Amino acid sequence: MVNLWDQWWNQIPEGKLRGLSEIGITTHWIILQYTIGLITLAVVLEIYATWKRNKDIMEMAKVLSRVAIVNFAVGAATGSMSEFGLLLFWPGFLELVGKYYFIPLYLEVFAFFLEVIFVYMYYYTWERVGPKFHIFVGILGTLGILLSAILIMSVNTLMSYPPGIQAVYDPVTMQWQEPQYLLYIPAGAVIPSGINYVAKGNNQILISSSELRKIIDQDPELYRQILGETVRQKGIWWIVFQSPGVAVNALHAIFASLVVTSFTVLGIYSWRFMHVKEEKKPYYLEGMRTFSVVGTVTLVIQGIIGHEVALNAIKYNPEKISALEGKSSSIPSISDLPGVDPVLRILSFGTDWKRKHLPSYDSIGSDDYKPPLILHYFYYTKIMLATALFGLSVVLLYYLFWKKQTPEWLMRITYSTPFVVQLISNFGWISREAGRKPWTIYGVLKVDEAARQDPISLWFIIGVIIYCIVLLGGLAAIMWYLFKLKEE
Amino acid sequence: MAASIIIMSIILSVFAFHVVLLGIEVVLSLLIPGLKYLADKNNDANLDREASRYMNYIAITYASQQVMLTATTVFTLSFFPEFLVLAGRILFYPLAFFILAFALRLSLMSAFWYGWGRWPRNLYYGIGVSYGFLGVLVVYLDSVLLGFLNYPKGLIRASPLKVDNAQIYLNPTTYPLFFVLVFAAVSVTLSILVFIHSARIRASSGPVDTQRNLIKHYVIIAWASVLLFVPSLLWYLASLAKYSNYKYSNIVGGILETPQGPNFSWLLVVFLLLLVAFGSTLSLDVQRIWQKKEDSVEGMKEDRLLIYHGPLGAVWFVLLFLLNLLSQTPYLVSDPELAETVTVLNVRQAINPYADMLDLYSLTFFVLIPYFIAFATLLYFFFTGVIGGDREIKGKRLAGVIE
Repeated sequence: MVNLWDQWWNQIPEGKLRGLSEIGITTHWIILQYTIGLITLAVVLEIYATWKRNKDIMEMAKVLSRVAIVNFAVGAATGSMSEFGLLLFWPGFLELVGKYYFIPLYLEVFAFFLEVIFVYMYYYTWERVGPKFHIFVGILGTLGILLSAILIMSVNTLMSYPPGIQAVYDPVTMQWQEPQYLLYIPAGAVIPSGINYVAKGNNQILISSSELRKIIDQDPELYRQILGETVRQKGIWWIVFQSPGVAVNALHAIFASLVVTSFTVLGIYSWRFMHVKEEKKPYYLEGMRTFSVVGTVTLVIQGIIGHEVALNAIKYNPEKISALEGKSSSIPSISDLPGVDPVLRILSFGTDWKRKHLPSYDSIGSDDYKPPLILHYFYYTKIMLATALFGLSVVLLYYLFWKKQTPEWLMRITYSTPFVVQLISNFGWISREAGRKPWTIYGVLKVDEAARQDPISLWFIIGVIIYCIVLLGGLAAIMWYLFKLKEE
Repeated sequence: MAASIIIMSIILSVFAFHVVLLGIEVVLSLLIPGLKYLADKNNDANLDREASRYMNYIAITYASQQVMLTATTVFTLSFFPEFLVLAGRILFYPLAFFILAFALRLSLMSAFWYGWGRWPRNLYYGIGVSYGFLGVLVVYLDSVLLGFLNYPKGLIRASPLKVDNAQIYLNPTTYPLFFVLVFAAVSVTLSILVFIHSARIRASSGPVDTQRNLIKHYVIIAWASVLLFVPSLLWYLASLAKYSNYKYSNIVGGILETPQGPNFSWLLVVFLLLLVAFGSTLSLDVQRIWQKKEDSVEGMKEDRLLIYHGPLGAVWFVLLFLLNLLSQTPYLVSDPELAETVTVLNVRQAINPYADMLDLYSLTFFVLIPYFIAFATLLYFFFTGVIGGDREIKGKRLAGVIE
């Protein structure tokens, strides 16, 4: 039996720094989802309300944009914190990305420019310019936000699927192999003897992670030349976008934001509905109807995209899937329950499911590639909560659209949706990020190589943790006030 | 001129905008709690409304200086990754405190904004005062970082480079720079507010008496700040002459001594001319206030100088920091001797070869120029009330501006 906690925190290096980064990035991720969701939904609702001449929905769009503007400023600050966190805690990673894969980050600055101008303009021009111009401004702001999300997610995807990575998992034989990369070597460069690789022509080589790391140890300059040549051959503008799964991963983050925002607003509106005077109830009822529809639809789409993300991981990062599905004899696993494994295989391999199998954690040949098994429980908690949320939203839809009254118990359960949906999202995020550990860039850069080498004071770490708690608490209080403003 | 110098200039210019916008935002954050306190004490609803309007200005200056900070970091990461990583390693604590204070201010700002008129007054004023003074701390930490770029006090020249963390705060160029920044920010921010209020008075928008009163106070404080700015600037130049002679010689080069690098004395002359113009126009207005010529709306409307202080101040403030930062090119830390051994401090050698490409420079240039134009237009519309301001102004202006 594996000690799950020890495996997660002690066997993978830099537990303190990882914990600190986890807190910082989670804080940013919680806020960031609202930044994406609030503005996108405000613009969509405004378009719909203009088309249908619906005053209540127009009011909802306005409320969302008002909350968005505060959230945007907080998100900009937590974004800077995350950015400086990367610089201060993970300089090895940042130097590599800054040198070879900087284009998405560079372009993101321009998307950020677009955001800051048009998101503010969108808020401050409500009812001050014509509706078409206002919607146009909102679309530009949304475009900036979505572009930012896509660009940042492209770099995040690179961390799981570095350029040149090959699909190695064979689901029929269940043979585990370490990651392989198709890279370019500069003309005239010589790979040191004792390092195994396969020459593929046109200066291309197929090399495994461990052999590549021998080059990093023995001849770091040659390694830099190989990265540089690969960047040149694949094109510096496009190399990051060629990683497998960039599009689905970006969509996964965007839809996560829409789901989280919808269910957060739904939870708040249900609470308001139960606590406002009778004459104000129709507005909140309309709000619940709107956000339960949007939430349910986006949740279903998110499930489909999430499935695609998992299929990608089976091909390129099988260790992650083996840990998430708990395919190990050393822990009690949900996928060992009767009937679960066939369902997973049908979902993963379709009609070919009888011949094919999900990767086994126990067959991973080296500890260097074993992600923490605790992720299995995070992942399945996420799946179960998401299923419960979907069930709740379907029942709620039934009552809101087909029955005259929604029972009080159901309304009270709905209060919990902002917390539940954040748990789902954050467990998903933890599974995604910790699933490639002990690597910062899968198979290329280990956590301890990416980390700051000089020690950091424990008091500093404690201070940052308290700081993040205060920041999130303050934001929650302010958002609550803003939603209340409607009735004042 | 080498491409690396051009890109360094762009990065430093973006950073200069960040510093300027930060200065303005911090002064607003000090001003607003004070005005709110006075409004509550005197039961002055008009002053309360004016102070609350300033929160809108904070929202936009905060977000835009944040964008400039992000742009500076990302541009530096792309073009000079090894320098950025080195800075992150040796300046860990000042950078960490800077960013934590920066973001904590945001929570306080949000609390102050949304607690307006809702929370117990003492708690509320406490939040406002903390918000303002934390802003001063951010400006101080910014000065510490800029001071290190002037003169790397505390740097231990070992391999790898290290710093004595206490010595960083004893940099002799930091404190004069801090006062330069504070007095410049106070005089320029108040001048911009004078510009906004006088534009609104001309458009007959908002409470006239309150705004007239504010203008008179702002002009006097701005003028006093310019007077205090001048000795601070001389102190700063003297500290540069002693501890960062390379930079100093490039600033005054051609006037007082031979420049050791690029000669920026022309920029110094332009800056000084603008400063003199700014100080003189403020002096004339102080004289008018003394002569009670600004005591009537008509008197204020006929004083066109009130309109010019703000734009003039904004330009010289930006020029001041451009001059300060550009004068150390091509060194990221203004120490040629150090840059000979630590090559990542010399932009000619430190530039990322994969980023050194014409299409990236062109893209940056062609995006930044329209961005700054769009941003300036947004600020203009915003501050003059076309958007986000009083509806009566909007009614008058919209027809000709947006529709």
